[in-house]
Amino acid sequence: MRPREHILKARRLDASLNKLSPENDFEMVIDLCMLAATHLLNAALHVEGVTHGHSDQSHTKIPPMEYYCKTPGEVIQRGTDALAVIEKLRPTYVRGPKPFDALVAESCLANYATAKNCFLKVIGDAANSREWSELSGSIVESTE
Amino acid sequence: MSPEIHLAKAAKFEETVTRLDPTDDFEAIMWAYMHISTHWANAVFHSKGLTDIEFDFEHTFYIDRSPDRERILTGLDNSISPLLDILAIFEGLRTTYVRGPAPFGPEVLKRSQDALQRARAITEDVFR
Repeated sequence: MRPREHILKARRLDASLNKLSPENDFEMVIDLCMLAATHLLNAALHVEGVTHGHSDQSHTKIPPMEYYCKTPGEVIQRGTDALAVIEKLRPTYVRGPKPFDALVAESCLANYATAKNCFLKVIGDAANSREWSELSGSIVESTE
Repeated sequence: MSPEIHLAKAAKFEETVTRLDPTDDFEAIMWAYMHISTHWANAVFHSKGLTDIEFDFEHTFYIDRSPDRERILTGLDNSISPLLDILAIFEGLRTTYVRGPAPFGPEVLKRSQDALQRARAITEDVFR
């Protein structure tokens, strides 16, 4: 997927997240944070040139970052660390039996905010350029 | 995890779906359906003795990671095995529409709703 497509997906997931309550929808809140942040991670990796548009991470370690020739920069690494904290909640609170915990929910949302800020910083306005847009090609050409 | 906890977790996801819009939030709903079906499948498999409560699967391929794979395959009859087909449907929808960018339409929504209804019917048969 191109960065622009990842960003649009992340925005949609973020909008769904905003309809939910951390307390009543705890499990889904965790997973929506994970999903939206992963789309932004992929966009950032594409923009920085670590991965290209047809190679997407499904999680921070799948596939392992060491697999790639280029190592992600410090800002992506910081965002990835925050996303990894969210991922670690899933076996216990989403797939597993543990109930809502206010501190866990707070930490999840804080890590999501950190990950989002880091990845958007790397993406900058790069995803707006035609090269990175899902509209690159005849649609844009024909309107100009 | 016990069948009761799986059913309770599935119910929580079902409640969350009521706060979402079928079109505006289709990715979140599809994802929730996947979790609901997985929790139901685990509850049914535990209840029917196909898996121990210590072994929960998250995806269909986990069956082949089970230390007691033959027990599962032997116990899969026509009433239960469609649950795995349904999980496979959600795994496909997840890759294409949640992780991926494929365009969403009413037929996709219907496919995921139909799959959930089939999973619900099988689960209710077991726990009624």
